[in-house]
Amino acid sequence: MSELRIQNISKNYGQVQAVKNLSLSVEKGEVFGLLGHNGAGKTTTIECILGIKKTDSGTVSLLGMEPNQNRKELFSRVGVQFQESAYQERIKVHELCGLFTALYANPLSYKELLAEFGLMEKEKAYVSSLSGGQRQKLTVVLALIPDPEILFLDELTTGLDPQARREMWAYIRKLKEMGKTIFMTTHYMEEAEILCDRVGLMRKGELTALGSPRELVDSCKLDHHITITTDHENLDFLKEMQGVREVRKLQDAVEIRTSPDTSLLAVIRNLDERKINIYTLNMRTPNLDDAYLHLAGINTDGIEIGNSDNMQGARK
Amino acid sequence: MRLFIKVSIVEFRLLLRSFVTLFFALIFPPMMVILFGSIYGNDPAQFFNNRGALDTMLPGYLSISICVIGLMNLPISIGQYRQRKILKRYKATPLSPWMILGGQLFGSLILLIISVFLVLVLAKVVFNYNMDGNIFLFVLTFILTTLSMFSIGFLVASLAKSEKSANLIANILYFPMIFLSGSTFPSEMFPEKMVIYTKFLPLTHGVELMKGVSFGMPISGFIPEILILAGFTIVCTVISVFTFTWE
Repeated sequence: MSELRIQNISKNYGQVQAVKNLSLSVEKGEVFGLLGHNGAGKTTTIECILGIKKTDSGTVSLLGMEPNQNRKELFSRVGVQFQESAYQERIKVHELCGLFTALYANPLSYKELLAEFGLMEKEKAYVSSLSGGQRQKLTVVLALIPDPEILFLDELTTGLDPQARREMWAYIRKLKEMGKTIFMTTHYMEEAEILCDRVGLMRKGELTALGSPRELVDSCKLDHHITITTDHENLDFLKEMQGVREVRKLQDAVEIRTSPDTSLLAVIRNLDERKINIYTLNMRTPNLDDAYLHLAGINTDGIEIGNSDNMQGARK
Repeated sequence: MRLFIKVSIVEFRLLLRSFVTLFFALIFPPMMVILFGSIYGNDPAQFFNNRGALDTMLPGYLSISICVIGLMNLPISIGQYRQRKILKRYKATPLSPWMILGGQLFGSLILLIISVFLVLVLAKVVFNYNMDGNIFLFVLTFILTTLSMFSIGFLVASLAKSEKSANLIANILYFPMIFLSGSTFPSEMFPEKMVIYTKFLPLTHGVELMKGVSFGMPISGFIPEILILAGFTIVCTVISVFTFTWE
């Protein structure tokens, strides 16, 4: 049985449809990532799942329970980190942790959790005196105190510096190894690619794509990019090769775009056979970031170019 | 129950860390006692119908403590908890967010007891305060006044959309209430025409009730005051329970 099953939920704020007929399920031990721009409806979706917002239609089953019933039992097994978490003014770290510890039947030791996140020396400090990264770690500590079976993380790493972000990633991977189910939202594709087993792409309240990061990228059939620097003036002959879609002169390099089923090595070999010197060589296969932009109908300059046919292909 | 005590202790501690709250709850009311006590003393005076000034004014000073805590601090801090999404965070735990509000209320009541204790000790020791009436009855009238002011505070917390508006409404209610109800300035001082207007303030009835009972006047003479205060308590509580939002 799925840890989380959402069927056809919708949520309106007045005229605005924040979530439209969304269905998905998350299996035990899975890390699921909900992707989308700001305002796509990710946070509202989490709030509907947790029963904090009432859905207008559809059903949610979380750990086999309806979120609006058995709240007490349900939330002793669910850990939550909200995007905007604030705590009482002038509360200290150990007081907040102590309060959360008192809420649960079998809590984890908050001291160990604080130590794990490198917050031990902040135990007696005011929450308000913590840096952004430290505060974010504290919200995760609080979400973990119940020793939850499923964890909700809403834009966990937004605003963190690169090092703190990587620390978070390492910790989430550890939680995954421990068999926790994780439902997260993010707009960092790199993060989703590294952490998530499956991702869902939300756009204007609708789920427009669903699958593993690899599946999503493959479904888009995006070009590969080979960028080389060479002293050879004209490489147009490459256009005659099968699968080469474009050869473009950049400022001091040449970019060759090939279809996903083309052998990259064949292109290089072709250049080599013609004794063309290649001084630098850069090959980039499409990643989730490219797929995200493609599926969201945005070109590489960030300009919306409307709907793409491939979206249908990725839809499940 | 253990959890409620835990929450209450934390909330009480947080109250103690706010300088503004501490000043207005624990320093301001005793300061009024010292200030007016030093000016008017506590010897029987004709102006106060042959009672001591402090003997007459003390119920009013106690009502300042009630208002500072119940009418100012309570709605402002609830408004803050809501706006900062603190209440929302607790909705995603097994704890009922009512428990947080209950803890705030409980912490406020403890603060009120301390404040009242300070005022009474100061009045007794320095100005030889004397109550003619039944102390038990007086405590009951004090509790009724407290309930009515706290329920108005909760209503403000329910109706105010933001921290700022809670602050504004609380201030608009608080200042006329403490200056015009006879708690800061003796109602004996007010011109007759003004007395009529002060009757619109619920606290006026609380002060009148506590004053009368502390003078040893029969409580049967204060049925309208009791009904008005009880009415405010019930109406405000009911409205705030139905209109309260967590976000």
